[in-house]
Amino acid sequence: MSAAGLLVRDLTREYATRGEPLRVLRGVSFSVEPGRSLAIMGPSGCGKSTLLHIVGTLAAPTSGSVRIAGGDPFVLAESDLARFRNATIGFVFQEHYLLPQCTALENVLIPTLAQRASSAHDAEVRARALLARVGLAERADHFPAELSGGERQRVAIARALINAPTLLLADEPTGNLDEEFASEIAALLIGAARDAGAVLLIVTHSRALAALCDAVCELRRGRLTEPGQRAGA
Amino acid sequence: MRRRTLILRSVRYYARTHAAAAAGALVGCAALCGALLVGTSVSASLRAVALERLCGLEHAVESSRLFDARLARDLAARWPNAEVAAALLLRGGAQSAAGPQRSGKVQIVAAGADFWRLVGLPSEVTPPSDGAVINQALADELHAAAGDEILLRVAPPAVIPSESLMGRRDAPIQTLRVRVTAVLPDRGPGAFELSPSQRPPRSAFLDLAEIQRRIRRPDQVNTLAVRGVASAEELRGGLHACATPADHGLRIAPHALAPAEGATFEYAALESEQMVLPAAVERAALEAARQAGVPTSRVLTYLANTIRRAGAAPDAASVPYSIVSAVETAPPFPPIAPGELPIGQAVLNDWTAERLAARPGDAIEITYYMLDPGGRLRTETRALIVAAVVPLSAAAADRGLTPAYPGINDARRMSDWDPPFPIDYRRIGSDDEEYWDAHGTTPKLFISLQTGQAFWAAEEHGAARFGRLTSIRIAARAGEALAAAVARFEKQLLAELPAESTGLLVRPVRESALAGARGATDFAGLFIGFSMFLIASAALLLVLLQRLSIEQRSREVGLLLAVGTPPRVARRLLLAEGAAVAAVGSLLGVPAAVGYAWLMLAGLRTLWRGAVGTSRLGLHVSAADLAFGTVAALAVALLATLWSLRALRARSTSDLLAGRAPETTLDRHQLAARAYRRGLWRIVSGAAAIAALSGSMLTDGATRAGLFFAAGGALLAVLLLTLAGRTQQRSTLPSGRGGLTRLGFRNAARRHDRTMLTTSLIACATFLVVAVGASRHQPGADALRRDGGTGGFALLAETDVPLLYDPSTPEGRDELFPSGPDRAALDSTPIYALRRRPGDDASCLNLFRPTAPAILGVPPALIARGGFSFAATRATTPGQRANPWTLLDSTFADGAIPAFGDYNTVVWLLHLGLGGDVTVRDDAGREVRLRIVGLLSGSIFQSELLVSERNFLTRFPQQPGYSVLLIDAPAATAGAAAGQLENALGSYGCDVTPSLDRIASYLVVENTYLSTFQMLGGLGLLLGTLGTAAVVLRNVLERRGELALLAACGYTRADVRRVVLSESALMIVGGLACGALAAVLATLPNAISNARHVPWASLLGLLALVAAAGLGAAWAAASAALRAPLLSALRTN
Ligand SMILES: Nc1ncnc2c1ncn2[C@@H]1O[C@H](COP(=O)(O)OP(=O)(O)OP(=O)(O)O)[C@@H](O)[C@H]1O
Ligand SMILES: [Mg+2]
Repeated sequence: MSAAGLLVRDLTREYATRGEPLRVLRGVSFSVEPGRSLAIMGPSGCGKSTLLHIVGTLAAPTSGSVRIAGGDPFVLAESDLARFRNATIGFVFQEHYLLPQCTALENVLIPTLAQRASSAHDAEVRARALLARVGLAERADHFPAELSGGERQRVAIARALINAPTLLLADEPTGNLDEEFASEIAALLIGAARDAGAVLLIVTHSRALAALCDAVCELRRGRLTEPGQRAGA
Repeated sequence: MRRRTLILRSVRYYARTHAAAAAGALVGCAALCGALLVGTSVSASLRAVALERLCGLEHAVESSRLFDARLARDLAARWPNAEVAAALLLRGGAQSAAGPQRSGKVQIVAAGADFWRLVGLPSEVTPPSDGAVINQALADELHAAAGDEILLRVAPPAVIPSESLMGRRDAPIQTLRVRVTAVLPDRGPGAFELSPSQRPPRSAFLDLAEIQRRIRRPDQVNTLAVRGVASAEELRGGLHACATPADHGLRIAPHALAPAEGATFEYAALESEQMVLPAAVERAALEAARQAGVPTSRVLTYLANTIRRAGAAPDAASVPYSIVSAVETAPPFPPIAPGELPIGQAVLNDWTAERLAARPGDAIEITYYMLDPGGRLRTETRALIVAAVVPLSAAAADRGLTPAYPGINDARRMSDWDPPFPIDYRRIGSDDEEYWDAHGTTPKLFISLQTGQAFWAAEEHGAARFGRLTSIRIAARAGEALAAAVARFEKQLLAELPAESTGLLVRPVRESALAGARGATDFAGLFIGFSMFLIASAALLLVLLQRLSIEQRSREVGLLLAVGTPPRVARRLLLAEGAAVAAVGSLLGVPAAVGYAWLMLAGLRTLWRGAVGTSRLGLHVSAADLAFGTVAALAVALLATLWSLRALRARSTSDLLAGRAPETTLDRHQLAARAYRRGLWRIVSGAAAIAALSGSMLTDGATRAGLFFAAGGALLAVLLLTLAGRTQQRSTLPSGRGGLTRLGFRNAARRHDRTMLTTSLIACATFLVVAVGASRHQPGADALRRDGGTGGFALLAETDVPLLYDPSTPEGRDELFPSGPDRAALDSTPIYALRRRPGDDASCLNLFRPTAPAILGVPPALIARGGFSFAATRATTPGQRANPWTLLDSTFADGAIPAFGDYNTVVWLLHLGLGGDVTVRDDAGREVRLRIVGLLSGSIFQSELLVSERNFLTRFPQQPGYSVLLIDAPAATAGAAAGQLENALGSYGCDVTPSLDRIASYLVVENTYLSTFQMLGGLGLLLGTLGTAAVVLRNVLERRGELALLAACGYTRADVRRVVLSESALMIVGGLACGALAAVLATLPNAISNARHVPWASLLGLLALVAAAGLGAAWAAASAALRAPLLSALRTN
């Protein structure tokens, strides 16, 4: 296992509630090599989104460690962590979270706003290329309200890719889409990750989608089953 | 894309949300700048009024005596650019010759062309010698127009004080019948006044020479109007340098004696036109003589009605109406008899001794008049032992011992004497006429100065009020000519005698008018103070609206954070946006502020005219105010925005992404911590409230009022924190209709912060409205009680011309009241007469800050009677506690004089409290400190300060007579008594007012102030209502899904609205209840201690109205939000 990938060890996470603490993750360990993809499945409420948010550094684990490209992001100060996330992680959520006030192109560019020294022109060239790649070159100047659900999700994928992340996280990216679109989106994601040599983590309920990934594992009672290698991978 | 693009896009996309927030900022800025503009406008208007009233004058010399107009020319010649004009300024009454219209407090300005030019009166309207020009204010009172005849009543200042024995009391009032030649507008010279107030004076302008002729005082004036002299100090110096002894009312007359055959002794006598040398002159003259090395001898000369042998039969010989001199024996003045004259012994001249057949060692007695304050003439008899009999020659034949008195000195015969007291001409025989013929005013009897002063000028009986000497004789040193000594003495005397000491007061009228305009009654300050509530409300509303907009966009923030935007950057983006919105709102608030200030001033000119009593308020837009106000408003708006961003604090990106309300993500520990903090704050606030309340018991004045408000504020905090705790608790849901309401209540807990913000907004505004409303009051029936604001006096009378007799005594009534049908009724009505020293009206009726408040002298009888209600006193002994008025008789080691003032006057106008000192100048120009030892509460005495008559007479001896009367008439006959008194004292310009009306006239001002401030609270409530509407709208939009679900489950639209409305009802009613309760608690002690009638009914009505309006707004908002088909929300969700 190279230091460049994603390494998760003994991750636990509890939620404080009004009553007893809720133990969602009870020791999750796994690793993914660069350029590989892992699908995580599991029943609703088992903690998939929680795991993804922790790996994406949006939330902190109760215990355990996460190493991304060899480093522990949680030792970073808040703003350093944000910069790290900006440079290394791309998110695709079940909901697209596009800003309604911005055009498709601008939405793709949102992550570049966080960088101080980036050239606006270069970023725009990249964004247009990404939009072309997700098949929306013509719709760059349209507002989210003028796009269909699938188109919005494709904009969201372009947005996740704009900073060329080494870790791509997708939480039920195709939840709202029909089968045909779903596989199209999934292919897009997996292809992009593979091309960029990035780690791709997809949470999904869709076996068809999971089947497209390099490996699949299941979260049950707070633990992860061994990744089942896809045949031929 | 740049961050700027994102901000601009967001501003545009969320335009409606932002518009609401901008409106909040706009209101805040408008309220802040508007308050400043109103304050500046009031001050600037007063300043303009003050300057206009002064007609360009800068200084004035005013005097209680008349002096020679020559002084004006002498002064003007001292400086190249100085303009000085003399005038006679008198107060009096006016009456229309044709009708019954009367007017008191009329300013009569008699002046010549130079004065008219100085104040800018066009020459075509200057008064001719046989007419008067009046101003519109007087014309309105008299219903007079050009061509009408009017009667003016004045009492010109007496030369000899009318309350001294030799003063004239019989004809102080002159009635002038004049034809009005023009009516001047109440602007420019028509409103001329040296002590400006916001109301134009009622003035009549007359020709000076004509008035001087009519009052037989040619060339005499009492006022100099000055322009072009750099400072009051310089003018004072010039006056000091220009004044002659005559200008001080003094003369130095040379006399000669023949102490021995062929020898002459020359001396000069310093005398006063007042007959008695004022104490200040005595001091200065003795000091001047000492400095100049001039020998002196003091003299007090009096008139004895009778000199006779002690114990003689009534028909035995006696000498009527003789001059008696008390003389200080001092070399080189030749002694009247050899040796010192012991106390109680007398020297007779041989003429008198012969008439009485008296020899040395015989007992004689002298009888003379004493004049009590109050005009009562008393006869006193004193025994003396004849020490010697001297021939009517040498030092005993000295007419110079007797000052000249017009009406006696110039009488050819004794029976032609015209003294101001009764004499029995039958007692004057031919011997007496012979003596008069041969020796005139040569004294017949001599006593020592000490004996004389003990008889006629005893300090303890108030007999020394006008002075203790009639002359000071000065002589030359050996070998020196008298003229040289006199010249030296005169020079030194003038150096020792500043103009003030004999009543020539220099006043920097322009400077004091401007200072007065700045101080105002602090309407401006109070207005700005109360506006703070409105500004705070606007800030709260802004926080609420900004928060709503941030909460609406929490997912957006979540996304920005998820893609790695540093939180600082994300916050800055939102802040920039909020700031832009706040800036736009604030800038738009500037024109709104001008409009708001204009409206407020229009209100003050019309609706709330009572507060300022003038229609001369204009809008003064000051760039500095606007700049400062806008910057301050921007700062407040930015702070509000920053504070609203706290909503994002410590919220995880996941929560933000999931759009979870912050309140719902709190765990047990956080909830416990919140409850703990709340509890802590509750204890702190509660302690603060208790501290402030107990502190208010110990203090008085503005501090006390401030502490009450602070206590109220702290109480409000306690109540709101309690409410916050209660609403956060979860209640079980009962079924049925009550359940729906409960569901609404629980929703309130869901967006707890927002609920509490709205509730606080409403609570603050309610607090203000109720607290101010509870302070509003009417004079209740208890004001008429003896321990009420009127002291039990149903009527209050003021006279334009002071009464020289005390109407509380039978003798005084005999002099004052004509015999007639009303006499019996008048005699049975108890009257208390107070002396009044004119000064600034110290009540709220005067917008200008009083610099020298008017002062009343309280007679001993009123002190003994007591009464009136006190807010606080300095009473320490049980006697003082039982009757605080006795405090006026107490003394202070540092010479301060105890004084009372009304609470309102002392606290709000003089900005003092119990124990505070007001410094005024006495008649000799010295500073007198009046120390406040009692605060009357809601009394008739709001325009003046009160001191004891005894102190009044010692410090203000030159102030003649009584001009304020308290009449203890039974309520039933008060009306009749008022009429009788006005008739009886008509020639004095007596104006009788029911005491309750007087109190009410003060209350009108106070209540109008309160109306204005209550209106600010009302605006705050309006903001609270708007906030509620915004919250309801937002809540409904946020929860469309849930509400749709309720609809899907079969709830009717009305049911759904009920859920929404019960939540807003909680905010509105909770806010109203907290605010009202805190206000009532905070004002309760005040209401109880001041026995005020609090208008509970109208307050409750107001609260009901507010609740209805708030619920109405919530209903409208809910209806608007629920109008779209609810079930569609389910599909799009
Ligand atoms: N902020 C929170 N506070 C308390 N409990 C939480 C919080 N977030 C998630 N949970 C709980 O943690 C558990 C896991 O939630 P999570 O969202 O990770 O599930 P999931 O596997 O993504 O489910 P789904 O497939 O439905 O999206 C759930 O039982 C949820 O109730
Ligand atoms: Mg999930």
